Order: sequence, then structure tokens, then C-alpha cells
Amino acid sequence: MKPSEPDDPMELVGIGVPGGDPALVARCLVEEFVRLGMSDARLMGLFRHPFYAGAHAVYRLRGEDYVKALIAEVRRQWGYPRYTVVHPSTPEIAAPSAGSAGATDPGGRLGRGAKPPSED
Amino acid sequence: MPHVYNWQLGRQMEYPYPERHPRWQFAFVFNTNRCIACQTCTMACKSTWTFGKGQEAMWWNNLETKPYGGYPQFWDVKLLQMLGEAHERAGASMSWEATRGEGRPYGEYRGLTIFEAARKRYGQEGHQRALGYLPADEEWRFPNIYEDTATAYEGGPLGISKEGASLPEHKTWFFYLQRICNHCTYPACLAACPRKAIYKRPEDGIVLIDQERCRGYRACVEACPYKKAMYRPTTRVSEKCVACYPRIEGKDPLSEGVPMETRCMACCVGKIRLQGLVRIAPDGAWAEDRHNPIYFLVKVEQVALPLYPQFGTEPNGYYIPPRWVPRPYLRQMFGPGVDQAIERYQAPSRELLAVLQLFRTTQKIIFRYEIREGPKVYETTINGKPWAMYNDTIIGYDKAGREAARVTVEEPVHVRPPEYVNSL
Repeated sequence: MKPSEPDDPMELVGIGVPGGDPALVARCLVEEFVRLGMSDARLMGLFRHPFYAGAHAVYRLRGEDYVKALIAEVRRQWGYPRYTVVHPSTPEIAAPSAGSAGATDPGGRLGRGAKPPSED
Repeated sequence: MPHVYNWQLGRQMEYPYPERHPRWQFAFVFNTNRCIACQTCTMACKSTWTFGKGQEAMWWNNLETKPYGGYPQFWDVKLLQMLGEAHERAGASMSWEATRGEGRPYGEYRGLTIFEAARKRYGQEGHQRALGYLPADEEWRFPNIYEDTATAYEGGPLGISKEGASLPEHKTWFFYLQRICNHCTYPACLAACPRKAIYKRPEDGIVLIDQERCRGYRACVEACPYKKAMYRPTTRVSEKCVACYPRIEGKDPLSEGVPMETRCMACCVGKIRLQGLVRIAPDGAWAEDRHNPIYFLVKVEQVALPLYPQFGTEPNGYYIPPRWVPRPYLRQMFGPGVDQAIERYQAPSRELLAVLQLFRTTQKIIFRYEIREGPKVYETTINGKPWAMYNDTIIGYDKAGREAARVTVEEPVHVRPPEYVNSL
């Protein structure tokens, strides 16, 4: 790599801005996706995947157990704000319970806070 | 110099032209908490308006990673530095007086705007109309350089890495800032134009550059604090976001004759964007319109805030601030309303939760909404206070009063099987 040349207008001159809390970033991220209806399994996938740089950095820094505990904590607060309509042939998801597959069954959502949708 | 009232600053300020206001104002709300930086908005704009020769470095809609990035590079840091130096020279400070009241929802700004700072700055050519600078060509060329991309790696022979290049990571907080022209109430571009080629439309407040009158002096490029006026070398005139005005006018065949949101708004996959038109009273204030979703978010709930209000142009783009970012940074960027906005967004009111569902339900501009109450479906505590969710239904109406959207708070998430994942 070539040495830095400060008079080069395209030289990277950015520096870290002080402050900020990675735990807060992670919690906000989990909350937003929970409020959008993402399942625990998909949320974990997002943290595990290196493509999602911010989430994955937290996963590497704090580990899988930390992320799982964080998701569980946010779930205790927000429950399952949306229910999911899953096509039965989607292979990555376990067989849905009767009444929720391909239908807008509200049964699973009314027990929210305690009962996750079947895809989890 | 005439004085005009800027409600975002809670006071009168100097502006080169006397107050005149449109009947409606183009305005929008972006929820920064949900943006994933997919750049679909950027490409929708690019493929509609700026795909021609001479427009290669022109991005009317751009999306930058804060605090590192900017298009053009360091646009806000540079202007804040200039404004800071102007305050030092004048012995003033960029502070806010906290008392809020009628017509001053964020208190009163005690510092200098870019118009007032320019009056105290003497150059060879005399005063500028607005404090500003002309970015160098290379500052326009790389809209996301050093943001989420690799800068360099230790390469072997031929510069090829045996292990594969690894992306450098930001070890601190960041968020995505979506930017288009703010179609300001007091545009600095308009104020600076020596040809009077820039005008604000009385019917919708959209700011346009008359391509016939413009002579390419680039005074608008220099003056716009958000750097959203751009020079096109092939035509030798300046261009800017036109707010997709044929859609706003309802002339797009899809809109069935009623106003329709811009391309960048309509394509947002993260559902972070909502755009509308707000009614303007003769005195320039937003006319009371309780059930207009933009009015509700900005004026009633006050969860959406202007970008750098201290610049003084009264921008008409509003942002729900990213709640994980250190507050001093946010207060500088969105003004003193940040703490209240985040508090309200974290534990949304029943009505706010329903209005947030309207984001990206339809391409038509929603002029009015109505909420039908549903059952309580969940109870919890947020920050130690009780909070409940209701499965209300919100209905959005277009300009003709026809139903344009109907959605519940518990809108289902549909998961498609892999073979149909991209089908419509």
C-alpha cells in the first residue's frame, strides 16, 4: 500500500467520532426488525452473516449467546408485533402449525409475548 | 435586506427577497432508523433523470453513511466549519434558546444563518448572498467513497491478495442519511442566482432552475448548503432535483389524475419514506391539517425534524433521527427537537404507530388519513412506563378523497417460497 499523502484531496482523512454504544446500536437494530415482523431465526441469520457489517461486528465482538439473549430481551418487551404468512413449501422454515400455513390466521398473534409464530 | 419568518428557527431572519409563499408545499419524512442503504432510491432517480452525458457525477438523490461520508465529500463538515468561523469572527454562538411556544416548536436559534453570516463576510467580490463554497470536481465524483467500501489491502504480486481482500470496518456507530433537494422555503440557490433563473412554484413549492435563463455561473452550487444544485458541463447550465413534478401534478397515467409521490419515494424497499404536500397559510405557516400524515409527523407528534435547521433555509425534508447515535451529534444535525423526537418514536403513541404503517403503502400522495380503532393486542412496559399496542386500521385518502391505502397495525409479513421470491 502506498504511504499516505496528506495533500492528496482524495486521501482518507476520516477519524472515529467519539461516543456511541455498540450495545445500543444492536438493541435498536433488533427492535426495528422485530417491529417489522422479522422472526428470531431470520434475525440471528442477519447477525451471523458477514454481509451485514454492523450486525455481524456485534456478533463477532460479543458472541452468539449475547445476540440470542438480546433478541430474547427485546421479545419480552415487544412480543411478536406482526404475524407471518408462510407458504408451506418454503424449505428453510419448519412445517407450520395448522391454521397458519398460507392463511392469515390470527391465532398465533393473539398469544404474542409468550408464543412465537410457528416459523421460529 | 428584507426580514422573513423562519418557524424552524423560531424567529425572523434576513433573506434577500421578501416573504411569498406557495399554496402547497412539497415535503417528506425519512425514517433513518430503518434505512438499509440499498440505494434503490438513488438508482430510481438516476435512471429517470440523470442518465445523460454530462450527468455522470450527478446524483439528485444520494444516500451517504454518517459520520464518515458525504456527497460531495465533507459537504456538511465544510459548511459547519465556515459557519463556525463566521460565528467566531462575530463573537456569536450557534446556540438555541430552549423556550418553545406557538410558531417556535424547537425554541429560538440565537446564532447566524448562512444568509446572516454572509453579510459579515467580505471577499474581493463583496458579500455573498449565502455563506457557501464551490466543491472541487473530484469531490463530486465518488459519492460513497470510503463509506462502506474497501479502501485498500496489502496485495501480493500484481496487487492480488492471496487471502482475498478484507473490508475495513468502522468500529463505531454509523447511520445512513438519505438526501434529496429540500425544496426549501427560503432557498439559498434562489437567493444567490444572479440571473433570477431559479423559482419556487406557487402551486407546490417545488424549486426549479429555468434551463433557458440559467447561464451556468454556479452561484447556486456555491450557495446551496445541502449541495443539491449541480453543474452540467455538457450543457453549461446547472440542474437540480425537480421533485418528479409530472408525478406531483398527477400527470403520470398511473396516478389517475391525482398527485403521486416521486420515484425515489415510491421505490423504497425499506419503507422508510413518505412524501406529501402540506397546505401553506398566507403567512407561510403550515395550515392546520391534523390528519395529513406529514403534518401529523412534523407538527403534532414532532418525531420528524429538519436537516441542519440552523442553516436557515427552512428545508422541507424531515428526518426521524437514528436513536442509537450520540445526542450531541444529532442535536447539531437535526436541532434541539431530537430528544423529544426519539422519546416519542421509542414508545409510539397509538396514532403514531398507525401512521408509521402508511409508509410505502401506495404511490399516490395521501392527503388525509382516518383511523378505525381495533382491539388491544399487546401490553408491555417501555422505559418503565406501561405501553399497549392496538390493531387499528389506518386508511389513506388521495387528493380526490378516494381511498388509496388501507393497512392494519398488525399488517402480516408474507414469506414467499424460493421459486417465487422475486415475482410480483
